[in-house]
Amino acid sequence: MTSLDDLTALREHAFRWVDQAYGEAHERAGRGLAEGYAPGMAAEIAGQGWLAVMVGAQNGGMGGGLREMAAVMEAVGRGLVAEPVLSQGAIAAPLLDRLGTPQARLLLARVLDGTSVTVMMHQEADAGFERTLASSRLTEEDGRFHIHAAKAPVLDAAGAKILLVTALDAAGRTAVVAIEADAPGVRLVRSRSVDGRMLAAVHLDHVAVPADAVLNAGADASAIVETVLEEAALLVCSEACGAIPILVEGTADYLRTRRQFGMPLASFQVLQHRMVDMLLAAEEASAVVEAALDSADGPERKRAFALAKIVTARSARFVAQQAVQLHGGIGMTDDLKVSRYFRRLMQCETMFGDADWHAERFDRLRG
Amino acid sequence: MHDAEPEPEMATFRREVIDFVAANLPSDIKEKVRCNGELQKEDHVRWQTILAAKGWYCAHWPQAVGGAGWSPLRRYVFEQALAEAGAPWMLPFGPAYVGPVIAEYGDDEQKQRFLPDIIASNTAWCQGYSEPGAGSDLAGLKTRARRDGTGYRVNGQKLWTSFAHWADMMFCLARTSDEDRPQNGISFLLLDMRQPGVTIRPIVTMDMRHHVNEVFLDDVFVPRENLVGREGRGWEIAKFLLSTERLIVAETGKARRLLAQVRETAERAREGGQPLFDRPVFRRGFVEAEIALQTLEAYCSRLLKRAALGEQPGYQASLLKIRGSELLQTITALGASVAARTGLALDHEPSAGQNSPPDADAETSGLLREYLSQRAASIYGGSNEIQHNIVAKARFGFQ
Repeated sequence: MTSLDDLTALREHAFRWVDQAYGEAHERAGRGLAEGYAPGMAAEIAGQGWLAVMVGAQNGGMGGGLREMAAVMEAVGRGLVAEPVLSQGAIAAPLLDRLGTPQARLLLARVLDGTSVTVMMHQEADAGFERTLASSRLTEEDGRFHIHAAKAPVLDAAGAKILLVTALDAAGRTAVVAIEADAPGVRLVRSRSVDGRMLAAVHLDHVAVPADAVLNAGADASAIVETVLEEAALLVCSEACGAIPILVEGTADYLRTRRQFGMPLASFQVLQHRMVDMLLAAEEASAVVEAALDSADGPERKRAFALAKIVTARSARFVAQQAVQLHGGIGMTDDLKVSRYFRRLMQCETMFGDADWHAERFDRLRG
Repeated sequence: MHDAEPEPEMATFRREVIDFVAANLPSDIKEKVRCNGELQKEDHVRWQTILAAKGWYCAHWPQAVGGAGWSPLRRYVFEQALAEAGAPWMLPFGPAYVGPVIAEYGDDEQKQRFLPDIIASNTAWCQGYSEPGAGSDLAGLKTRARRDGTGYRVNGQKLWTSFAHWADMMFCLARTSDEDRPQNGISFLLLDMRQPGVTIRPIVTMDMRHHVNEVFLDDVFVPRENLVGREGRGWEIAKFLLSTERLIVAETGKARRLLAQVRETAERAREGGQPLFDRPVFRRGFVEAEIALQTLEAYCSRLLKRAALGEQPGYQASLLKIRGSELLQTITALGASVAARTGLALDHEPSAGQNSPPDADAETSGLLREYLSQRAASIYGGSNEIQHNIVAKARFGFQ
């Protein structure tokens, strides 16, 4: 999965699938459901291998990397796919793959075959966008483990079977603990996200966990967790890069057809210029994501990733706001896709840190 | 472009260029650039000659006319590295503008007569495009070239003509006939500036410098052999010229150097007992400029990669122009903000600042002056508003 041809084929295939097989009805199907997505469709998506893209071949995956997953996430954004792809294919699967312990590999197999939605819960309830663990604790007494944590709402957690909860152990190492969502003492607090998908926060009050649920097996998983979060932040930018052009083209089409004052809106220069600014924002987002992918293995990785999130977040907001503005009243309605892209892009914009948070990071990381 | 050049090789080349500038740029010129001092024609020629000796002047020209046939990527890397390393801005009129035009549209005799003298810095050129009534609307130009014996008699007025006062030759657009479309009937002429009838009047701009001029053409003779391409097809040539310039229109190398300079001056400047650079609101502005710079670099690199795969940029050049000019304006505005802490001083007595770090003031003033001159960046070469029009038409088909 490294050649340019394979990458192009994967991208084209994913785009074709969302364009032809994933319609508005699918996108809305999860709205009334507790999971926030259609479980049948989630299984179908798992079946086409999207969740296995970043997983090594030895663990039953495609052996691809960020570039390949970025192509899939672009398709997810393009089609407003509501089923868990990011949380599975871009977060849980690579996390379990990298942890690599026997128990992690067991859980991974169930993520890949779509039988067990598994969601990483890292962000602490009062941490804002900061990723440092402070209050999540894993304690051990006579070989018996307990976990105590309050985690902020995470997408797709409402329908999860397994939660991968991070916590600090007595030695200050980051542990990753697999917990069944319906285990005793696990309190999920569900909410509906702005884009219709379901979130859940989790409260774990000294919940007993079996030893084999501690997936890091005593090693410090902080570097793995940080890598996964960094890459998830970049992949959510790719999702935005899939959605943004839909709004750009859709708005241009609307300006061509909608008439006011006896002429098409497209003939008004102020609207033409706004469209150009939207296009510019869209192209900049794609460019910084591409640059981040190019820098992923180099010394500038962290700054390039931060830049990608800053620029993509701003482009997403600008394009979405202007798309609504240029559509006028009709752009406000839930019926029109514009408002649905608007809300999905809000998630892309802010998930794993908004532009301001990443701008601070970008500043701190300067040499 | 099928010879996609690998990135590591480009990184090495960039390093080589920066090292070359460090070792070979005369120190007096380097100092002028650092403080945005006034470069003389002689300074430019001296530096051009050093580059030419290395084979790095006009190297983007085809090999058949004395260039090295550099790819757009190599040229971009070269020019940005030069600027980043503090080399002077390269006067584009010969090497970047008229040279490639003659190489593409000129006949063999024209190539022989004009191109070697550009490489050797024997001939300085200027560009006669804008006129009092034809700025953004360039096709409205009124300068007229009337057939007269073995050539043309040219009458008219050119405006904003950069470095006409240094130029031996001007390439200009003049109307040779009146057609239904104003773009038709324009011809591309090479005009000798050293002849009676050419009057140059300097214009001092708000940076208090003389770069631009008014040029009056009063019955000036242009021999027939100085017509480039076919008569009446000058507009097409002017558009070709723009296309060759597309990918270097964004001066990211210069922006990088100026931003580093803003940081240095803001670290030296103190406010409320701390470096200005550490004041949160100033820093925020700096971070925004840095984000804009790296975004533009990412966009350039994306377009260059595409170009290497054979996908030539079209409307994207206008987007580069918009963002490139905004970026230089943003960065130099930060410089002006540093300068504002010490009264917006534009010039200094030579003896001043004995006890302060040498030239700190001069550097800050240089940024202030650059702020003033960069206001033109969003006006010249097709204003940013015109660039918006171009993209709206080319990309969306809006009329």
